[in-house]
Amino acid sequence: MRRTYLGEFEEVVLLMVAILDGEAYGVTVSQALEEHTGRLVTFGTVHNTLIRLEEKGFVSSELGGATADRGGRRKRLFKVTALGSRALQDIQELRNQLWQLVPPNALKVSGL
Amino acid sequence: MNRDVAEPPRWAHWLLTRLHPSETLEEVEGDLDELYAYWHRRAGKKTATWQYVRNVLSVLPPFVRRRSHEEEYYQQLSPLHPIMIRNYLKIAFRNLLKHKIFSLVNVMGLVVGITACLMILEYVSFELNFDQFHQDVNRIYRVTNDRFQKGKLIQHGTITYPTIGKTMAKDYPEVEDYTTIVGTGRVKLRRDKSLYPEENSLYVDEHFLTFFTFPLVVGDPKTALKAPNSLVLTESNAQRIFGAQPKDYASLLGQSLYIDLDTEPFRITGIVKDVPAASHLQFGALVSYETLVRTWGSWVKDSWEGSDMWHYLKLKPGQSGAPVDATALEQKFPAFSERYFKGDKVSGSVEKFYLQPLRKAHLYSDYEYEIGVVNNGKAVWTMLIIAVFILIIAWVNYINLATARSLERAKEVGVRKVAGASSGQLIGQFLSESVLLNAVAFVLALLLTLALQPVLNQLIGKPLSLAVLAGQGYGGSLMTLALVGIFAVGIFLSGFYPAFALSAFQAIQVLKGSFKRSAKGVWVRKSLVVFQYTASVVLIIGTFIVFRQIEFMRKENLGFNMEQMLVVSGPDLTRWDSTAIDRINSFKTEAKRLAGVKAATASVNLLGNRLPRTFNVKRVGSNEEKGVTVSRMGVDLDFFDAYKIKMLAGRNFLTTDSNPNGNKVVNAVINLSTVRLLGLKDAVSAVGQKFTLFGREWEIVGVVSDFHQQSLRHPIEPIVFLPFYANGGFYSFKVISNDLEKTIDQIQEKFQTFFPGNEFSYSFMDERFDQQYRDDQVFGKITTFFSFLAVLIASLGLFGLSSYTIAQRAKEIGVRKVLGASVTSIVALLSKDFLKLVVVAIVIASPIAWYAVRQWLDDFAYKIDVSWWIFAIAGVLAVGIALLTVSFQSIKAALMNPVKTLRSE
Repeated sequence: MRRTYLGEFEEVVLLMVAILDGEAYGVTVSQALEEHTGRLVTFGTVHNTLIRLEEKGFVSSELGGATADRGGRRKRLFKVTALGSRALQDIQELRNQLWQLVPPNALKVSGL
Repeated sequence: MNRDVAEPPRWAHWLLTRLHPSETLEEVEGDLDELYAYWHRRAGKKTATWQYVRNVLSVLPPFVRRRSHEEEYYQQLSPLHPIMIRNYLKIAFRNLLKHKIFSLVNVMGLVVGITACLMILEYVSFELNFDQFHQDVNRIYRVTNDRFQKGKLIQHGTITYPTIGKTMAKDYPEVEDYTTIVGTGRVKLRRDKSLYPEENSLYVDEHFLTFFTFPLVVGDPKTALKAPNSLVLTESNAQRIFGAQPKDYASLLGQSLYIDLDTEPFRITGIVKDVPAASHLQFGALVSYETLVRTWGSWVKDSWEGSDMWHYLKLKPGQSGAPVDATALEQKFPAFSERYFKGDKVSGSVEKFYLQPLRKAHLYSDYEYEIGVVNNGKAVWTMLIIAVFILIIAWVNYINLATARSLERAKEVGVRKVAGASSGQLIGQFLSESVLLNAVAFVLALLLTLALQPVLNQLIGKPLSLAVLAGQGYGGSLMTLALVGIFAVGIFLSGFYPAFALSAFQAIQVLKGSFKRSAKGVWVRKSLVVFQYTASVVLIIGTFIVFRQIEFMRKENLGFNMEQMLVVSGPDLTRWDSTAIDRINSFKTEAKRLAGVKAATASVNLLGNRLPRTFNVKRVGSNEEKGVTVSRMGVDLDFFDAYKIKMLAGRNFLTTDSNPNGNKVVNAVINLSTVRLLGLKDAVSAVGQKFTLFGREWEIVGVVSDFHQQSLRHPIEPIVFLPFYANGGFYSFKVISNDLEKTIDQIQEKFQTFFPGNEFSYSFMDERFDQQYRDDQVFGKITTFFSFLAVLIASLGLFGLSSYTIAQRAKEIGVRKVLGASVTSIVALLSKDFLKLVVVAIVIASPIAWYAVRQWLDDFAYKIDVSWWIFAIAGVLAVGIALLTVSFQSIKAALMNPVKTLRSE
């Protein structure tokens, strides 16, 4: 049983959606990415990733929140779905387990 | 403020709106605008513009990912998706069941049309397939022979001189093989004491079995018919006569049978497979040609004068598969005639020879003395055209009825469209309805064809079956494919028009209630109705003419009386001897003594049959170099009285005119046509004149009036009556009796005492004579049937159109009624439109019908006039039927309460 694969960038974007908690849409996700990770990516990359995440069922979206500075155009607001949050937690847990397995000195040596 | 008015570059924005997928355009446009404002705030216009352009590019194809449709709740399935098809069929079924009467009418029209079409196609395929089973059918030709006297065609026949085939094969290297046939017709095969009548026997030469494809089950095709008195039987005759099973056939070889009066036995040398029904040559027994040399004389091998032979030639195939060039060979025939016939020096006529392809022998033969089964090719093609027409009419009807309901379906279409149906799905919906309906109709039509097959076969006397269409008929399995293709295309085409017409409705118009069909659609339907009625009127007129012609022929005074005339076949198994005439006369006298018998006469031939001809008959004393051609008939002295043929001058035959020795008979009676043909002034002056026939002189002792010796298809012929008797001839008894059966029994008793060992078979002259009209009567029945079909289907069509139009005018009718219009005036108003169509149809149909019936009547020597009132009656009938059909709807509409139609406004 293979779980749906979540790529590294996808994981980060999904985390941004989670962080933004209901306020996530193209602009805010791009800005949060820049702010929290320092990564500058094109809007298209974010746009495509959000669509892909939705196709995989990790986020859901709906149109809403039209404001004047967007010329009255609606935003597509994203929310993490139950499946998305499960996926994030699974990754987190897996990472923790893996960290436990790392011998105490191993990383320190390399750190030196 | 500067910030607020900051706008991204127009061209980039334009590019975005043009190329970005429409599903996500709104949100992306908004997002990018917001981002532009953000960049502008942070880094100024230049960077913002640069960033904007870069990011626009990143969301254009091919980089952008397309958001799929709102899958969960707004999925547009392809019209061909299995789910949709299942849905179409379900809805179609519900629709059919919901409108039971309408569906029934519609299916019925199709079933009737397809059944008729299938039956006709069976017939046409069967007829076209004649003789195709011969391996070399395309290389086989029959020699035909026209004879001219004084430049006038006197015989157009398939029979010719015995030497022709042989000589042509010898003279022309193009001829690969030939075969010569003599048809003897009915014979009686005798085994021990039992008689087995066989209707078709042929004398054929030794080439016959290898020339044609009539495979032998046992025996050697090369040698079977070489020796005299060789006999080849068909399988069914072997079974009938010997009770033989296929495994016993070999043991039949060498067994003996007797034929008719022949005292020499015939040896069986082969068993041939039964002749296919689709063969113009039909036989139950083949006898070797050499036998004829013994029974008829050596002229059957070398005569250039006597002619009773059919010749078939097989030409050599052309170079590397090129078609055989028969025309080139035909062009050499005038020289052939000159070489052997030297003008008219040899046979008395100028001889012309032609080659008729074997594949045309059945359908395109208009020859006299035809050996085989012939049919009228024109009639077959006409039938094919009728079949196509009926099918088209049936489909047209479907279109008409389907679109007629469009008003009702329009609402359905509107609602479906509002609910999001694409026009592809709607077309799929209506198409599957038509396919379903057509498929049901097709299956029913197949079943109906199977059920009616025996009736049809009996009616037309042919062994037809669906197998003829399924690969065993003309064109083989290609035909089947073509038919399936035609039906499939027809079904789809008939479904397409309604499907497109219905799915093109505008949802808004329909649901607002302001919906009216375009004038164009009505025009299409009107022309369809005109077309249907034109076909109907043509067929009605045709039927009238056919029946009037048949009636005319049967009622016309034939010039002789055949009422209550019982015909008994002569004793063909009694030998001719010097006492034969006395015995025949005693039998007649004895029979005449019976209470119910008024008159008795013996004749060699029978009226209604084709009489034999004699060429080169000359009046003694005329200076004409060449003679004329007359028919002849052997009759006794009671013949003219019994048949009430008027004696115009001279006397009847006397007992002394006859003689057992035919060479001593010298007196003849002729009819009026012969008087004129011989160049004599009138009946009275003809008596006592002489003419030459059979190489000796005859005296005319009497002249009788002309009469129709055959059906009215044929002209009256010049006939010479000779006082001959024959054992194989016929006896005619005028029977006036209350107890017919008893009288016949008594005659039979007398017959058996005078001619022991012979079969007694009788018939009635008028029925026999009527047999000549059998084909015409069948044709009459068929046209009646098709007229009925055409009218039925056309009425269905009109019914559909009227119900449609009247439903549309319901409100108008309501208003008229409110304003005081009477029921009669409304019915008249509604019917007028349809009557116009029918009148147009009559106008179109009349000249077509006139032309067609003239063509048909041309085959008759005596025919009715095509008078205008027949057209008038057909017209009135068509109008009547149309009125009846329309009135059903129009009266209903006129009687309707106007409140019902107007209250919804």
